[in-house]
Amino acid sequence: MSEYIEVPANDPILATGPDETGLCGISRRQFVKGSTAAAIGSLACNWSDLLAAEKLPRLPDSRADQVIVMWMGGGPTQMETWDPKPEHANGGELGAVDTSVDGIRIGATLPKIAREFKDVSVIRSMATGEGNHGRGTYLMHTGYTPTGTVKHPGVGSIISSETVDHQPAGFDLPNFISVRTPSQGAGFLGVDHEPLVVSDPRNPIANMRYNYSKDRFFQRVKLLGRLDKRFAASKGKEEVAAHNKIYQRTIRLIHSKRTKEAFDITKEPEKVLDDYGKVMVDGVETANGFGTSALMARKLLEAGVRFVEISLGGWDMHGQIAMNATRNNTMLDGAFSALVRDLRSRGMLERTLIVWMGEFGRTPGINNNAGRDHWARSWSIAMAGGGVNGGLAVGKTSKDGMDVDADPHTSPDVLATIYKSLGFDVKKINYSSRGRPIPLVRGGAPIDELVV
Amino acid sequence: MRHRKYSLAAGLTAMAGFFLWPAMADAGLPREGNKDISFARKVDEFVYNKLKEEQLVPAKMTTDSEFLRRLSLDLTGTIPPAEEVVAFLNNKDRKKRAKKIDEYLNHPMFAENLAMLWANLLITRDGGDADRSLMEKYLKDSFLYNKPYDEMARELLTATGLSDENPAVNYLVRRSGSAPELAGHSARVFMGLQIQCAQCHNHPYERWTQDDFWGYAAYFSGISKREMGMRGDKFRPFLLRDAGGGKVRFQVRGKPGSGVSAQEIFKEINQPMFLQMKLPAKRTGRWVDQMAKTMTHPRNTLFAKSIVNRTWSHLLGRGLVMPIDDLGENNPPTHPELLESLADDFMDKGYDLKYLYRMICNTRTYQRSSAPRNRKYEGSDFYAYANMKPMTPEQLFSAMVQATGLDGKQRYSHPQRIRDWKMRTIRPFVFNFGNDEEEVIEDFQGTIPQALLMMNGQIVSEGIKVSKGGNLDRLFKIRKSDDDRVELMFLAALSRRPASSEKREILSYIKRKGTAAQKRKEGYEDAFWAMLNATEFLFNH
Repeated sequence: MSEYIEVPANDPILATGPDETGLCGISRRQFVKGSTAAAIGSLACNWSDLLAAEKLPRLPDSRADQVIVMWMGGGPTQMETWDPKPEHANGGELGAVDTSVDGIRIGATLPKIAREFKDVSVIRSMATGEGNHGRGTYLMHTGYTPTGTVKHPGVGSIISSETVDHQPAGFDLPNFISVRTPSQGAGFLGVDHEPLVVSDPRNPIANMRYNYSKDRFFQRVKLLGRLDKRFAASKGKEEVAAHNKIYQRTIRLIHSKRTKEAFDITKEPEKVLDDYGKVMVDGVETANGFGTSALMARKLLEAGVRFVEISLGGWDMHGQIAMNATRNNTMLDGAFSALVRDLRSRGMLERTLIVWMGEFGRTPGINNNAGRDHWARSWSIAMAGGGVNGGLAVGKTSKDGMDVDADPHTSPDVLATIYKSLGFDVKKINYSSRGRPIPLVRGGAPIDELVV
Repeated sequence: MRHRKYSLAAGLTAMAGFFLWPAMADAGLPREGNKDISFARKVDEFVYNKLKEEQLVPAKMTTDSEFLRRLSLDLTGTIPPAEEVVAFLNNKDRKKRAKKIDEYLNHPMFAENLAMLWANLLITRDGGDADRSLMEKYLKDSFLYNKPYDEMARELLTATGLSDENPAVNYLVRRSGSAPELAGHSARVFMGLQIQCAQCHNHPYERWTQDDFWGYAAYFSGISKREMGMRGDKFRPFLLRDAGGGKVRFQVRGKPGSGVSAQEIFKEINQPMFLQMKLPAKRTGRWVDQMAKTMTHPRNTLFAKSIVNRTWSHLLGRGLVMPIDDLGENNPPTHPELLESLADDFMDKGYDLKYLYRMICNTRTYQRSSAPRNRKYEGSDFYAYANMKPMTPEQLFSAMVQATGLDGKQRYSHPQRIRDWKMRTIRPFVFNFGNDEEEVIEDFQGTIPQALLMMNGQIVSEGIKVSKGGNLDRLFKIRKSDDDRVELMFLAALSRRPASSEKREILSYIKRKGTAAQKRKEGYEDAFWAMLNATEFLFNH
């Protein structure tokens, strides 16, 4: 029986070129003969060559191929962002600003994204009923409330699982990548669709290097395989199988040149780095970490990753909402607008869907600490990119913001909208490890104004 | 997290500590915990009867190696040093397992390990405004001196004052300012009740209404914290105060979009209620005192059931109720009578935690192998064979440190710098391996960054080297032959002796590398790398 973890000589990970005709200037056969770590490093081949040769496969009936979720951790306020009410006491101090779409105003501290509104839509009538951080996060990522008996997969894992058979040949990156947030895992869909979590975009994949020969690396792997084989035979069959899978994926990642480029933002031109990564706060130039994550998301999309989640936290503003929201909005505004402009200039915006959401909104009434508390009754999310129709305001809230006046929407509706946009069968049923049917979406339907 | 050295001195010190037992002696629990473990037999009976019912055949018992490694990880949070494994394997005493259990329970690392786990549970890994080291110190002392569990719970729920003078306060500090969060968390952790959904709406299928939730939250509504001035150059304690509370105002869930005006749907509660439970007729003291008394009263069997289930899950890898903090009516236990009896026994023994651990560790159920009797892999729910547990981030880090001997002392001699090194080095383990720390890790959360850390991370790369003052270096000075050295590597990394075929394979690998000293070193390093990356290392089996 062969080694437990093996990488055969003709495995695409050992070549850097996407095909055998030498797109990268060297044929695969030539390469495999003289394989060493140094040889891999010296070959000039990059993803833009590939992209020129072959676009990301499109699913039938889809209007978008890739998704970026901007996760606003803590429960983002709707009054200071997408649903301002400057005429009412509940509206708070910050006021509103016109967008580039007639009749739509948003929070005054989001001027840059306001100018991009032909490509942005807001849903102001979210009514989800879960005001607890953990439950709300689970609900918005999976469309289900946590039950404890089933681990529902999150939207990233669903998208990874639905698109895994539609990736270009030799695609060896994880299909679901999450930056600075663990996101929601794959649950019963299994380890293949767990996210690769990048904790620091400036040092994305720590531990990618080793400082000895590739031959020696694979000798070690062989020894490891022997130990695992024995352990699997005596008691750990499933554990070894899962471990093996991850190690194989990781080994491919380590040896793929594609990876280094997809994750290395330092090679971007100054202007791009500045656009994403710097904002002015009180007249002082400040680093925008969220912007850096957005830049990484763009690069990962370029590399063919189908789903990226980035996050901006700190929204749990029980106190001092005006000051805190201004701070967060500055980061958000800079990053979101940079992302939209950048994708547009690269011809990528048309087939991308960006989703802005958090676990719930915040109380229309301002509390004793000049802040807002949790509120899941009437709040807002936003979507952008060609994946949805832009320039729309879906749903309405009352003058004081306490109620949804028209078109309440739930988490399943949002997910159904995303899945429809990507061309999935919204009625599809997955099965948990115990055989329970778990529909992709239960109790929701795509929001017509956005995807029809 | 201490690098454990095996010595009799540790045992003797523990005994000396017994005589220096502080005034807490009034609490009545022996510091080492009750030694009467006769109930263990009952536990095994319950489990065995269920196996018969389900027609499952129990697996055989663990080997001494398997038992020692499992016990060490479960109780002290790390793997045993190679020398300790050898001593245990060579020990002919028929009571050695029971004695080893006693030895570990008395070791300060048990108290530290439990303190770390409880701190994660009570105030989460990052701590928020609560101070982790203070919380851990309070918990460690409580466990070290075997404070009755009900007493500890009452202390945590009713503490006030400054967070450095009364460190128990750190629990409330973590979530104070939000009565609903304190309510949801305390009910979940101390009673296994998932009431937090009833914050916004009546529970979909359990019996909790919004009134129940907010009636309970009213106990906490007077609690607030204030950040105080600097102490020293880094630390700001919090002052936790209870203004009395007892009243809450909340919004009743109406149908969204129904046009019902907001004014009509707020409700006030003026007196706390304890979740449909009977309260003592007269209130004395603060509202939280009443709450803590009711919570820990023997009539509230959920309190005992919750801790018993949690401890059972800690040791057996799976609670009698899963998830472990959901003891609601719609989530029945796999062994209802066993859970009841365990709770009763625990209460009878005075909420003695060390006793509980001792008793369960002495059961055959606990000491069963994780290799199923037949290949069908059924029955781990019923303990036909032991559940394999993936290591927690802290365990993995400690095991790596123990196996490689790389504990910061190679680089630094100053204790503070060594502590800083530990904090820095453990961080990627926790970020990569830690998930929502309030959940039990059921499935192997294998991810790519974890694999990268284990394959190429610094602690592995340095730790496997023979020439760095690490474990291999030290062990190789003791033993010179290849044969012995290979054995030592297995003992250090995997806590067992190699099978003869394994030993042969590795010896021939080292030989094939070459005769030059450098080449042979590489051979050892490659083998050690493989052991640390093996599934066998990563799991508590």
